[in-house]
Amino acid sequence: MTGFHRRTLLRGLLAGAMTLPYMRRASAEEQAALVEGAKKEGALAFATSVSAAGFPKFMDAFKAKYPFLDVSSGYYSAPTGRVLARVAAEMSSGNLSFDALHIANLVPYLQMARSGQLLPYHSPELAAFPEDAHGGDFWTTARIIGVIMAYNKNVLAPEKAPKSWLDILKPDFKGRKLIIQDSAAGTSFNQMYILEKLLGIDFMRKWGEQKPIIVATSAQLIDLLVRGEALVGATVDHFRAFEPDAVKAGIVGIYPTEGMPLALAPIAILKGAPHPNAAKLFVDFTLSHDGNTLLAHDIFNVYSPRRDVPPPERQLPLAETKPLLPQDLADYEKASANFPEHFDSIFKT
Amino acid sequence: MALRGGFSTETAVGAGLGAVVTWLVILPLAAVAIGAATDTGGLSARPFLDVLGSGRIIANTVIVGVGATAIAVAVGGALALTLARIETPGRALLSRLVTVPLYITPLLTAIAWSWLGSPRGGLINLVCRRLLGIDSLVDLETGGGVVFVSALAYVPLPFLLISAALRSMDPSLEESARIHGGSTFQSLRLVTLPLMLPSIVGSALLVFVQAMGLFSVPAVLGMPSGFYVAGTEIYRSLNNFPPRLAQAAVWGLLLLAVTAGLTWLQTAFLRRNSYATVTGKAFRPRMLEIGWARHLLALFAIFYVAVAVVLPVATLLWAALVNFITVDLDLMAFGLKHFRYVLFEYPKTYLAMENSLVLGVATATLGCALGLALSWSIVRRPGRLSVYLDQVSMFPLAVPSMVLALGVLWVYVRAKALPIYGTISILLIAYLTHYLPIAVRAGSGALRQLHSELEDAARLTGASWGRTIRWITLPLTRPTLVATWSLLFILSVQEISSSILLYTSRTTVLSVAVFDLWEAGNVNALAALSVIQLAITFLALLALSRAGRREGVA
Repeated sequence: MTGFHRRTLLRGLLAGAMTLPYMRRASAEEQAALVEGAKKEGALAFATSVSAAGFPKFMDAFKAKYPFLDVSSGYYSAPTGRVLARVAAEMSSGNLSFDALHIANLVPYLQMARSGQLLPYHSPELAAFPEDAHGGDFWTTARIIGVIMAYNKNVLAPEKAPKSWLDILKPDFKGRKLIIQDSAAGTSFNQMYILEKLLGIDFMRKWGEQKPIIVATSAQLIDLLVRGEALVGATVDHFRAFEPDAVKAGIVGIYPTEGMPLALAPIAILKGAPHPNAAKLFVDFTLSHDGNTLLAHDIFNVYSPRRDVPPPERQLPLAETKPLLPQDLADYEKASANFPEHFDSIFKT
Repeated sequence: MALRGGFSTETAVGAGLGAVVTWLVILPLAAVAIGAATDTGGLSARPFLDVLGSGRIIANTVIVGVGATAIAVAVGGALALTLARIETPGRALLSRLVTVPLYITPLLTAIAWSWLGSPRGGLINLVCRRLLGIDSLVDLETGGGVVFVSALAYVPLPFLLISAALRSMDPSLEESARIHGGSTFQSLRLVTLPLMLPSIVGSALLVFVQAMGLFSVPAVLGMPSGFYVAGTEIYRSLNNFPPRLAQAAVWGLLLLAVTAGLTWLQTAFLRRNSYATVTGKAFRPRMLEIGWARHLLALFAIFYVAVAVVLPVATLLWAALVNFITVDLDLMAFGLKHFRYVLFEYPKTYLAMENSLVLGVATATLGCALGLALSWSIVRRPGRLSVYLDQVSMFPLAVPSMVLALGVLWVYVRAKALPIYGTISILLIAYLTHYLPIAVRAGSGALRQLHSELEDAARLTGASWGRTIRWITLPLTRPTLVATWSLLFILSVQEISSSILLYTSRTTVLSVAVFDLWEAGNVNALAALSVIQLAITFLALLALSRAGRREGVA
């Protein structure tokens, strides 16, 4: 796996205004063969960590395009660890039921690609993606999620709200005044890894000493902010802060001055997938202009690596958020292996 | 000839039961044990050391176990005495209401109480701030809150067990105490309480074991303030990347070991004395005369019902109807939009209802059959096999169901000869294993009360073993069977911990749909769906009790 460099990745991801390059269209024959194969397979089994209320719309749209596929029997959605526990159990017993995997953490993809657990597939849609948004033919970033801060203006005066990540160390925010996400979230790993690289382990230790409230998911975090249980959400998936209901309840998103750590959510086909043709059609659809607009823009309201998908509504374009990405992928992967313990040592002492 | 034929059927049935229990219980537990000892592929002691090194979490777990047990047994016991032996006003209705928390999952009670008692936005604090100017009156998002809400949820268990024992107690013993000049209180303390010891100890053990492995209440009320217990650690181990499956398995084994130790102590303790005065004979226990104090006791029972049933259910209803929950009481507007969402837009609702009902009926029916068969072997044919069946069928009680589900997952993903992985049957298997202890205990309770003379008489007059069971045993144990069936049905409809690991979108169930909404932070829809889930449970029970009454069972 070639490590991607922050700058090249950013240059690629931010090149939204560039003209579309020549796109390799799948030949009609190749396409017909895929559809024919998928018809024989009859189903697609998809494992994912997404929990958005609108996500079924995406599966419905795929189903509408390929009505002969049963897309619901094998569908499983749960937090990342539970998804991977099932995929790993299936793979080790040679009884794989899943075809495609989509979770908001890059590390498992790096590991699975290296150990030969992913099926290489060169989707014709890849031409619309920057070089660094995909790991060869193994995985492709389907969504980009940034982590920011947020507060409830009914509870905290705007002038007291933090502006930078360092501001959360202020005494005002000590003792259950901050809310963060538990270590299980891929976005939370990205944020903490990047902030530790940027601001040092001291920053992390002091953050731990602030004794934040820890919740299981980013959605629960917003719920607690809305209910006024704490002053500042410090691990907020950016799009959550700009959802109409949250805004109505007084939630305000803050883009920290140091920048917005990004998490990539790739999609890949598993080696030994029982329905490889259906999986290829699914990956093509997810990465296509229409599919990716529906997924990243319409349903999640997050950033897409595709150059022709509009940026999320009511939010800054990616370039203006000072996006932050890991620079050394080997180090990033190593940190991930110990992250649950590392997180506990900082926040659970 | 008939007898010999019957004997061989019995032997075959016994062997079959041994195989079924081994398959259901021992296989997944063996998978868990192997999983606990293997960390990332190789044999490793690290998961054990990690778990044993987390002293604070172990301490918290014990605090919740001991605290919830002490409160639940004290309150449950007091309620049992109040409603079984004292002429408390309204005791028929109160006796029913006190058991209602059994039908509400601890997750819902915990969520409702977090809305009521969270330190800043909790309704109690909002109202107090508005009316009294007190900033924060209660904070249930603490270890104390976890103990309190767990205890509320578990009170019905000791209540049911201790009232049953109180009702079947020979009143002449108390009377002799009174004749010898003892006061009501003295006869309670010196005669009744000691005689109730087996049921008190038994229900304490039951609550302790469940509270130690509890996940939902600590997840909702403990985690926000950093109060972690074994159950939340198992949940976090499974959700994390990389998943720490070995740690989850070690936690499960640790709880199993603690339970095994305590059960052994309980048996040794109870064996020292004879409690045989609590017999299967029907008595009409004498009511205790305590005068006006019975009104106070009625208030106590009403208070429990208010705190454990009325308040949480009303809060769920409020959350289902309020447009969105906010800190500003004036911003609250009400409508049916969450019910509309859950009934017409949330794609999982109907499929989940169907699956839950199918699984509920299947688990209850097969569970009753298996429970009765096992308890018949255990009670009527004592021997090595019955000891094995008795002990092994109790194991699942001690292992948190999330860990048990991990074992089930590991077994069936490999068992290609039995391709149920990914189907609804794997959930059925997990539920049957999980609730086997309840089915067996209920069955053996009923059979112990039924003297074997009746069966023997049938056999002597030439009836085959099968006919004896069909015409004697089944009809006489029917009331217990109906009660057990209802309990298993309710518990299956509520089951969350193992379902969230084993379902697919086609086999999703109501509790998973509710839990998904919790993880997705969609709390109002969660409240609406929970209200619907509660309504279904109650309607099903009502229909069942009507049907039972028509047949003269209830």
